[in-house]
Amino acid sequence: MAPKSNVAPRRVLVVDDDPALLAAIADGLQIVGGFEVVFASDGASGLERFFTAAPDCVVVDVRMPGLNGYQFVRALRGDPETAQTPIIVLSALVQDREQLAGLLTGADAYLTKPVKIVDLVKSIDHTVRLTSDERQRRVRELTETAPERGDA
Amino acid sequence: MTRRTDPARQQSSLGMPQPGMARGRPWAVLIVDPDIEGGRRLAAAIAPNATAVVGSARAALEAIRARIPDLIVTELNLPDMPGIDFIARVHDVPATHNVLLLVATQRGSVRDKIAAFQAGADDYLVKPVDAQQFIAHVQLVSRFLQVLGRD
Repeated sequence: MAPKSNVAPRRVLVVDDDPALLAAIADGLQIVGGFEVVFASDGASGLERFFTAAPDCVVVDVRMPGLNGYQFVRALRGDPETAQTPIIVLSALVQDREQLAGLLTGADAYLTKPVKIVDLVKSIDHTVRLTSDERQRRVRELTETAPERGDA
Repeated sequence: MTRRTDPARQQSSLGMPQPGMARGRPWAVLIVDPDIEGGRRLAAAIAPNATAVVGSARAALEAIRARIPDLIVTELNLPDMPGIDFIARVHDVPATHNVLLLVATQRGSVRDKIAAFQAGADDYLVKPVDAQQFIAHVQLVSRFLQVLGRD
């Protein structure tokens, strides 16, 4: 397990439309990670919840009704007030291109379901320490090989 | 496909990479913003992309009829039509359904963000938007669509 941060306690917002998974992850993060967990069951209510709960980190699913996880991440990244939010995408989409796409939304990490709680805790611990410089560097790396439109 | 010698990777006079290239030419960008001066500042920052700046939805729709751009950047506060309706009109027409559509707006409410994405916006930036941030977002969303497609 990752060493416990001395910056604590931290609040994590988990956004997922699967109530059973939501409950399991919430329990796991509280018990294993010592996090305070708040949650929402779709992207739109997740965005509302973000502003009322002011979480230190967000864990978000991709496929959700209304506002999907990709749009949720972009909505946070595009606002100067929320652009540096630590964000982890947690998805059942396991293909390489799906994982790349998840990172291309601007998320800090992409984890696939089923996830071990200990791995999610590690990822949160890592993500909350990222600096804006590190995020910018990641964006440059991701876009460096961008091909032209119309090539596909 | 990696194109390290591609002009798209070269630096502009302002030292920033260009938003993108389409079929061997710089993107045609349409900026829709009643703050024409603000739109022109953004246009200057992303030169030499061929950029038009218009101040209303009506002027934007005329410009689109004359030439379909590669990228549309729109404010939501438009004088003649709700910005969300403008996005929907562009997104719902087959000819422009796949045009990259970014919001760059003074409006930062959750309701506006959700409505814009649901109407068809690809990304949503709250002003103030600096050119480097703008270009990074354009590149990310453009690459995303290449990787995964629009649906």
